[in-house]
Amino acid sequence: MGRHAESKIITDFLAQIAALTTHAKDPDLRAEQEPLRYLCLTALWQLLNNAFQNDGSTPLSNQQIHLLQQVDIQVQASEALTSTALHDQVRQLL
Amino acid sequence: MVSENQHHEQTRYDAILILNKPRTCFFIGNKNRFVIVVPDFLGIVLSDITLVGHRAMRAFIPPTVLERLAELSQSVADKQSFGIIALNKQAIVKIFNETESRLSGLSKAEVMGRNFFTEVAPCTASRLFRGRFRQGQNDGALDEHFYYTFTYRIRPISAHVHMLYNPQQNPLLFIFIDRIIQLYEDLG
Repeated sequence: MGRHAESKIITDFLAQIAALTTHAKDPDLRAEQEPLRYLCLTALWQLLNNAFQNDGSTPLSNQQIHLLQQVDIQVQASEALTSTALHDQVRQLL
Repeated sequence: MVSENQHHEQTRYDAILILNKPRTCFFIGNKNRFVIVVPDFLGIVLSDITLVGHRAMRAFIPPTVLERLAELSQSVADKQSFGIIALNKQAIVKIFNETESRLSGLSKAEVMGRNFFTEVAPCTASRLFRGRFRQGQNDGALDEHFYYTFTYRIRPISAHVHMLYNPQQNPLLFIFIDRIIQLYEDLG
């Protein structure tokens, strides 16, 4: 799979995750979805970072950096809507 | 005591550059840092150059620092021109030098006494970075070089990281950081 195709899958995934959270009409459901979105996005960032940094034989490419930053923008948005207790728990977990 | 020549012998080179059309490019610089100049009028395109690996991973710590790890205190670390962070077994920051503070934008007060991987630099809580730290703790020694690209909420920067743990000399695990400028990105 090409790098562009890989990036598109990730960006589509980010859009889908955002839609599953923000499009929920029931406020209770939205409140439950947001922490899950935060966990999911944080884990995704970690997953990508681990894979891209690999064994440390080369620095990251511009495309890899851009993709990590795209995910992090979503993490930050979700972070603003979730508790610091959750952030600490997720950091400890990951 | 390691002589200057021996220090240079520690230099690691891992870059292989293949010019598909030789004698059409100029190199400006020295053997460690150089740029490739490709004149437009020769009709050369970047795909004519293949970069395998990357530029040299060069030893950047003076022997005087490496050999006197036991004496590497905060004040000694502050005199160095590269980043130095020292962690205890629990990954709590015990030394954070002036250079690292200036280049990272983090004050000493913000990081001293905090957990490096969870509170100071969460982007290093990775298999590569934290994994090496844990491996060093388990093995009781560590002397590893690797590249790491910091992207987390800062201007992205790549660095050559030298992680050193020699408990016979110092109970702290040292992280030496030499930031690099990427000269050729995605040439192919």
